[in-house]
Amino acid sequence: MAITDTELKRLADLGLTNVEGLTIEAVKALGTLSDEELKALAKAQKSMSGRVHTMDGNIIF
Amino acid sequence: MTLSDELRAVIRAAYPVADQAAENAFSRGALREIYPRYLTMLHQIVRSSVPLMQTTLERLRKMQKRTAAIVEYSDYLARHVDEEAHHDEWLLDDLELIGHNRLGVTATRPHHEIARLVGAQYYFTLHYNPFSLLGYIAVLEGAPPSSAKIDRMEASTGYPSDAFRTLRIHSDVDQEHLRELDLFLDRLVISKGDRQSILANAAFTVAGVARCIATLAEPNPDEHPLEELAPTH
Repeated sequence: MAITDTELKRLADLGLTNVEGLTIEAVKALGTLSDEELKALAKAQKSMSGRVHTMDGNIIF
Repeated sequence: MTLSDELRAVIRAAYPVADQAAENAFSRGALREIYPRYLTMLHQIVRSSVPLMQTTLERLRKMQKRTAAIVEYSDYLARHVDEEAHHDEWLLDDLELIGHNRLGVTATRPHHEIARLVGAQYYFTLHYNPFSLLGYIAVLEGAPPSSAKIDRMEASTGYPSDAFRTLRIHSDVDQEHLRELDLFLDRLVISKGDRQSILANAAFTVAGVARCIATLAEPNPDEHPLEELAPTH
């Protein structure tokens, strides 16, 4: 279940370049998001970069 | 890499979008006004937790193949149904303390983003792969607000401590639930397809949670008590 160049290019084109450290399956999971969602994620990753991510979240089950 | 590690990696990679939505929503206007809307949104999501797990349990019961993974998953859900029972009622208690009556809250029409997030879980479970619900559970159990964040909310809103009871309990309890979930996930023997459905649903869930939180920054034209929408005949 390798990642194809087309899949990686799509993520890169949408601005999502920070996929280092993620497994192939994890990248594939992110790749199931729509273009719009991935663009929003790329923007958020840039805007929140440099902050220590502690998973101090906002949601409960 | 274990399934729980992989799942956390997906959630960590995707979560900035939810963090950013929360930052926008909570920095906009008075938190005192946003907080009841936030609790209402959580209630609209949390009231589906037990029914979603029960629906999944029912689907698992009807599956012809009884693999070890299906048996273990069913046991996990059955235990979890008990653990999560009445959390929606706690949220209504908290809202009541700050002047929002239960009937008004339960009659508030949910934003379509809530239906999109939660409704998709029913679809995935009933028509695709019941294991995918684990991606949703992992996101929701894995990202409660911290005690420090709840303290800041309490100070900013001026609401009584008891109005934060549900968040505080989840801040602690969800950590235990998360450890329990991770242990369960890592002993689960499932197919690549099942695994991928869990990971993909985790990514979908984070994006959905972000959209739900973003609605808090919108004016609320969608929030109409149901009686206003009820047919007149």
